[in-house]
Amino acid sequence: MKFSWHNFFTWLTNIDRRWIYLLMAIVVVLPLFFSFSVKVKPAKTVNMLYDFMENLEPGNTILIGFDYSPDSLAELNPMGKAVVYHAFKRGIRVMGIALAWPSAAGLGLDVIQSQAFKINLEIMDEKLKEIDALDEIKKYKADKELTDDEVHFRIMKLAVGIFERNQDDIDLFSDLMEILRATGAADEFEPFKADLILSGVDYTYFGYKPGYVSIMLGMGKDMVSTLNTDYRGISLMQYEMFNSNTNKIKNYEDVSLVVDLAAGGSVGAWVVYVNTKFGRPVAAGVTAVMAADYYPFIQSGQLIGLLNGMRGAADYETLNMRHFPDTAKPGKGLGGMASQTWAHIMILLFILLGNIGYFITKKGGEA
Amino acid sequence: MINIIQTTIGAILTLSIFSFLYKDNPLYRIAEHLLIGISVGYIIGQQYHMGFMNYVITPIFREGQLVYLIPSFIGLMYLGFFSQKTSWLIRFPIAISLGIGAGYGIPYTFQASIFIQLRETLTVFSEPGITGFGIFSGVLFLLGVFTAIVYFFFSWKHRGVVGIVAKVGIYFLMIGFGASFGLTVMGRISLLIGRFLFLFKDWLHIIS
Repeated sequence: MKFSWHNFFTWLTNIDRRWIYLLMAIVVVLPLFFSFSVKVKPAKTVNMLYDFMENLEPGNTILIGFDYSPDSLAELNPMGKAVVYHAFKRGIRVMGIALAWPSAAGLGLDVIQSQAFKINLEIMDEKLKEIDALDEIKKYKADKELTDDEVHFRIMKLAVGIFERNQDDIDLFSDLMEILRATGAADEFEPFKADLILSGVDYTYFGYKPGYVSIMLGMGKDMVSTLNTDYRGISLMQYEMFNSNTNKIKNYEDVSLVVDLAAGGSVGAWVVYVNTKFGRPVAAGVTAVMAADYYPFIQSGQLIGLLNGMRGAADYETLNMRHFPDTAKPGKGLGGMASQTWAHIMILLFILLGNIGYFITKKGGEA
Repeated sequence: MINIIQTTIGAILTLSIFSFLYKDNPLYRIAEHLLIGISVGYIIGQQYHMGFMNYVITPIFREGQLVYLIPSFIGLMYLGFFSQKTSWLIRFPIAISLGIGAGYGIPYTFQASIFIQLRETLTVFSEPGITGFGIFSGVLFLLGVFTAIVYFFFSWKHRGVVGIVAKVGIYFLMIGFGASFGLTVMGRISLLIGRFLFLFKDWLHIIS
């Protein structure tokens, strides 16, 4: 059969869509294996948020709204991690709350705790190496068949558990605790107390709170009486962040910035009730699908920054790596940029081919 | 060990959902039903502990704050829905919720979504130290706003000058829709990347 462009594009436009899915999967997966590096130039709206955070003083507080569900995790979790990492590195206190989605309760907790753990590991790095060298720890590791990272995780849980008076965490690894006490290693944690990121001192996670707008408004009057407890059901009045004589948080007056990580319409509510009514600065990290809706709020100054999908996370991670070159590492935002780039190139090609095919087949049909 | 089991279950369910791309099959349906069931169960659990326990049981029965009886009683009226004889009761909580919501929402929504947006549109050239590009952006911005509004002005027929202006408005709207579509594509690809990172990094550990 003689080749003609008309026949070729007729075949192409009728191709089984499953070949397209397969091609897309290959294009997305391959860059993950062959570390194609993609340089990211942070967008203006991401720089605006980063600069705002840089201008905050250590001891200031930000409130992060985790208003998304697990299906948007790929875009919003990396953003949350990058922002929380930046805050902790600068000594800024973090509060987290899930208002819009009950299923966000665990996601927000993971974001904050993982970054607190990461920074605590950085702080105690040298001490952990010293503890690793102890014979008792080597034996413990061998008996339990644990890796270095797993032992470090347990030691950090115990160190933080002692300062947070979290008996559950201490009981979880009581055998290791006995070893640390017997060797005197536990007594050497004390000098790190001031630097470690601790729950109730450097961060508080409220978990999911039903009520949405009424909670937003109530927090403007009095956070403790509105929220009562953190995610574990512990009274907020037991935490230094809410009972300290010098730097306690009462309401939005004590919050320097609200960052809403959203996969729905919650950004609008934060802008309407917290920015407009209480005059507090609000920034947003949103899924790419809804990002276009929020650029007008940047232009009007109602949002002081905007992170747009996975690219927004990659931008923020890039800025973290510039500011903290020794410790900040690429996260899942930057990790996905090469795949994103190649997938976009493929989609552009499809659009181009589709349009050429449309005109050629149309012309052929008319002839 | 628990981590490995958790991640493996997540990976199997991810692959089950992906299998729909080939064709509908029982594995996909099992994963879909599990998702719905677990989501509903989780939401009910969260609402019970964080809502009912925190705002009804604890304050009233453990702390003796009887004022919480009033909103609890109003909320109970929603249950009237289940009987035809008492279904009229649900009008009260709905009316109260609507009234409070509208009372709080309308003024601030007007302020945030209309007045501030309008003010910033009108003062687009007032930025201190505005550059030539800033002026160009401002003109483009005003032109877009004006022509798009004219497009949605249906009292006059879109003929003559009004027709031309409305057509320009359509082009601005199409550029806006194009941007939204591009961002939607980016968002969907991100979700796919997220799943592949989960499969190859968190589950199989074959990428760093």
